[in-house]
Amino acid sequence: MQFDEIQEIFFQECEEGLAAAEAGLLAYKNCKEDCETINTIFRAIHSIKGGSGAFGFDALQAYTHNFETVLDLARSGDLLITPALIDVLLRAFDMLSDHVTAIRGEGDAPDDKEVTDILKATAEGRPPEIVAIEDPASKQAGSTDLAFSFDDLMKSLGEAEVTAIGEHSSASSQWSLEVRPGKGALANGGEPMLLIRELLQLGAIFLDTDVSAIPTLDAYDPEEAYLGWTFTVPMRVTEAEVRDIFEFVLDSCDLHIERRDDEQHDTELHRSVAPPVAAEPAPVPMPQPPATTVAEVVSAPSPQPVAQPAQNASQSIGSGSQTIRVDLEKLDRLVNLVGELVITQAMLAQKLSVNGLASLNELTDLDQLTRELQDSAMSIRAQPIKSVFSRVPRIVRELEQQTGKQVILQVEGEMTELDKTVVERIGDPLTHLIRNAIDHGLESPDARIAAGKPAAGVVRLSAEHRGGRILICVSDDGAGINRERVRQKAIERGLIAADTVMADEEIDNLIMAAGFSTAEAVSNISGRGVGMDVVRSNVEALGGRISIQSRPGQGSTFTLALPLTLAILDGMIVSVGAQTYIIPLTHIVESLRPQASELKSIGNGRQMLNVRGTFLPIESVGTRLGIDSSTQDPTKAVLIVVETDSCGQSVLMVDAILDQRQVVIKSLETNYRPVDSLSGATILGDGRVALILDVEALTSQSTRRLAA
Amino acid sequence: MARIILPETFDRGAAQALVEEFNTAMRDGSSIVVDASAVERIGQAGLQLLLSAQKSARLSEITLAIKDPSDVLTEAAALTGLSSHLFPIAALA
Repeated sequence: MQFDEIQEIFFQECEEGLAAAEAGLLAYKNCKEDCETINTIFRAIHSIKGGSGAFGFDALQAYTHNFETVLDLARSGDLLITPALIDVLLRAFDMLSDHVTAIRGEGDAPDDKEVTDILKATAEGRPPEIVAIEDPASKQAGSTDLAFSFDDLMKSLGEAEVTAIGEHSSASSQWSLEVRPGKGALANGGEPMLLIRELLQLGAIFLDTDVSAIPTLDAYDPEEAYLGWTFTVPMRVTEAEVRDIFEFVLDSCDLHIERRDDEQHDTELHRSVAPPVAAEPAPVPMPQPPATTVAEVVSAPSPQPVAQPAQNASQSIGSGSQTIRVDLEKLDRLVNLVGELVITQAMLAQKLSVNGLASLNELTDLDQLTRELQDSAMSIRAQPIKSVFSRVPRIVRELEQQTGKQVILQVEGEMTELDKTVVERIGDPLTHLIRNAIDHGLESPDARIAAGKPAAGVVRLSAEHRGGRILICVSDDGAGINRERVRQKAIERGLIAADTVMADEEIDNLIMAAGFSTAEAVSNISGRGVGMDVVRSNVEALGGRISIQSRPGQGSTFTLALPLTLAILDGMIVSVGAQTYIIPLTHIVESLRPQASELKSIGNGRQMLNVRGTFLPIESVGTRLGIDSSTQDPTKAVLIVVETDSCGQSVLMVDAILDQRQVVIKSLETNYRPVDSLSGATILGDGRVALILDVEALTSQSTRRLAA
Repeated sequence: MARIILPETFDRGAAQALVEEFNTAMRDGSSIVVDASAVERIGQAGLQLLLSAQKSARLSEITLAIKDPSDVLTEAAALTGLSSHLFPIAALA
């Protein structure tokens, strides 16, 4: 493996580490942390530090060292995890992200002096505010005579603190505690979970949960306790305090206490965070505690139970040993091959059916297997949208500072999975929507209070699967879209005529028209007037749609509906002359064969179809694509009502509908060249190539011609 | 696909009652979805039943997914260090 490749792995691990650390910090901020959270954050930062040293990123290593020191104190219980500390850590985290960006060559190394000073001060137990003022002074102190005595003072202060820290760290050795409720622990309403809660409140830290004794259902007994836990307890907690918690259950609960010295603590620390390139140590099953009710071994180091890496690490970190990295190209090749297999299978099925063998059992099995294989291959490409959502908290933090607005960010469904390409390309539109929601959607704290709302606005970001698509919603509880202003602006910009009658939804949609911006002053956050229409075109390029729901005074919701994958689509197979085309099902509203009375000619050879009182333009696919033999009489053809976001409803005329099925999309751009009115191609069961119609392009041209 | 809805109070009694429901679902084969959205109270017995059902399902190669865990269940799982056991990162089936 080349150095570059190894380094790339390190970069990827940095990204993963950053994501894990941020998730942990935000868990604290939202009071959703558990006892593992601080360890997860620590391990993530420690890994980045280790790797940065190995690859010679000295600035990053020096910076992470200070960060890690604070985290280590926090996880050992020597530093209380307060909201103020979390704010410091979040700030340090943002700086770390900048450092990581810099080593990837995507920016200059940031100036981390201020943050480093704050971290150092925090580690020494000084309030960070003082440092921010003191530090320039102490920097000057060395160079001027005037401040000489001040320098001395600082020095002696420093020494005093070093001693204090020394005492601290000697106190950071820990108890190790194994708890295993036995038979009877659950009887008479006993609940070991309550004891665990008390233990954690004392400052105990989770190491492991042993589930090895869990039986299968047939042996399950609700009266029996099967779980065991291992904790480390800070030395400041006395053994008596721990025993007090278990006082009433000592008869039915195995307690195993061990003392760990500092050296061991260090060993554990280094083993639990493997260097970035090395394989994770394999988890070793935790030995069963002794059968005696209370076994106590003081000062007898037994590394086995405690020197294990926390197997029960957070999901993102802990799952590391069960995942492998695969080059994306290999993955795409697999997905492509599966696509080919699907096509070949369809061809085989067709050939067999021609020869009267369509009902072969093996064929049904093959069909089933191919479908499963296809689903599995697609799911490998699926990624949780978390990687995109995790960028949002920082954007929100920055916007809070810039706009002075207070924002509560609620994120839901971040584990929702969708195709990697969609995940990669949805980031920018989503960022813009978030910026928009905060900049335009939310009111200032004063305005909110005046409107009887809490000062802090809520921005909600969610993702969910629904009906074969992914819905991503960005909503705010701000003022909603000011429709009168939007309408005025649209008239001023010549987007609509002054007397146009529009429904509320239509006015809302105007904000996605090209060149529209209602911001009073163009801010550097959003409001350049290129935002929303770019968002819309990006989403549409992914085969998705965007819709807006807004209620005055209550806020707005932007909903993105995206396809699960870009590799297959549900299509209607239609014939035009001798050709076969695919119309994506997402566009189709209905299909019908009209009576002559429902048609209206508007000259120039063009016709409209009356669909329950609304006249829609008819576009002959045959005429547009120059196919001579196609049916020209609508009463003998099939009319398909389609809907697009840009043009609303219109009608495509084809000769006949042949079938409806999933097709594998082959890109025309990659394999041939872009073709107007076509979005791709596929291979049918009989081996022929069928082209996929670009409904958006077909209908927008027809609408334009009609307007001209 | 079998669907099992966990009760609001998921204590020892409820766990005992659910064992048979899980067993029936296992015999039916295919996959089991456990709706955990209603759980307002859960103890170690309940958590153990979920783990036990998962183990049985794994051995019989049946998919068992715990859907929409309530906040109470999520918190209980976190408290007991069982989050990663009960809610493994779901792959797109």
